Amino acid sequence: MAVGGACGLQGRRSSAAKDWRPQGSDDQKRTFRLVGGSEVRSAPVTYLSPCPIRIAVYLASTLLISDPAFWTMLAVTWLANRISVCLCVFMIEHDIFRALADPTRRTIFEKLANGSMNASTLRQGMDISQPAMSQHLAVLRKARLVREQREGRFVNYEVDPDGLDLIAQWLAKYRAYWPARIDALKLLLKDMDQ
Amino acid sequence: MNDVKAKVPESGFEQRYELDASPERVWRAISIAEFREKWLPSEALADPQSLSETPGKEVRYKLRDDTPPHLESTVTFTISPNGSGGTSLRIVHELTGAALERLTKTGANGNSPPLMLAA
Repeated sequence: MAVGGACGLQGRRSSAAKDWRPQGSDDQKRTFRLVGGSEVRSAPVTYLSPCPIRIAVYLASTLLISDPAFWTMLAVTWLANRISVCLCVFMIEHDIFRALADPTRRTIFEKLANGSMNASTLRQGMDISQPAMSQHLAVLRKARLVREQREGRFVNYEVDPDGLDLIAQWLAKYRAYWPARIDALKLLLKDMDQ
Repeated sequence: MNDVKAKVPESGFEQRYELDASPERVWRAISIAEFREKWLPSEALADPQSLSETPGKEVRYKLRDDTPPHLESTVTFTISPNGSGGTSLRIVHELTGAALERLTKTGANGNSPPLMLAA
């Protein structure tokens, strides 16, 4: 039971203490000794030593476990967590589409796909300012398409090799790939002689 | 995009299209290399030869992504008559091969939060 913290204000105790025992029988002026650490000292306490906060926390936790409402709450929390995971995945995919919708960012991403490089090397051959490059890299990083690698003063960028991202990138690419192919297929079907 | 099902891990997807042309014509367009080349160029495929064919119904091709790490995948085209003279085309595209196994296995003791595997 982690109740010591709640009582820290009332009973002064050494940080190394592992146990406390009431000492003496005088109710008015009870002391308890803190045992376990290298430092052993007695602290005079002038009021009830198993403090009300400690009892309240203990009772509350016992009640919680036996209370079905507590378990319902736990289940609801778990469910909410699952939903947020789904949303999270959805958001990542959304970010990927947004990130790669821009032709400049696609170029940057394709450059990085061939190997890591720093922002100034990336800018070579591209008509783009340094702040604009930082912005594009930030968007790509947020979509977890690329990640940065610090080496001393230098920052290198590379395609994020995380498994999920690779699969998500692949999914995003080919989900958008087939509609265009099918448009071409429809044209072909029109042209095909019976 | 609209089906956010938490298949663990999702490594493929399905799309459906309705075509006006008859199933016979669609079959020729997807199975005969000269026709296929016109809408699905061989560069996209790992092998211009199909993996398997069920005449008039289904054909499978192996694809290799043109960008690193060149993930390999299998696409299955399934056609069926749609009742109004046209054709329903179903595309199932899934990642396959060693790269996928490596990707999906890294999850077990990876540093990324396990929740993220719900993709």
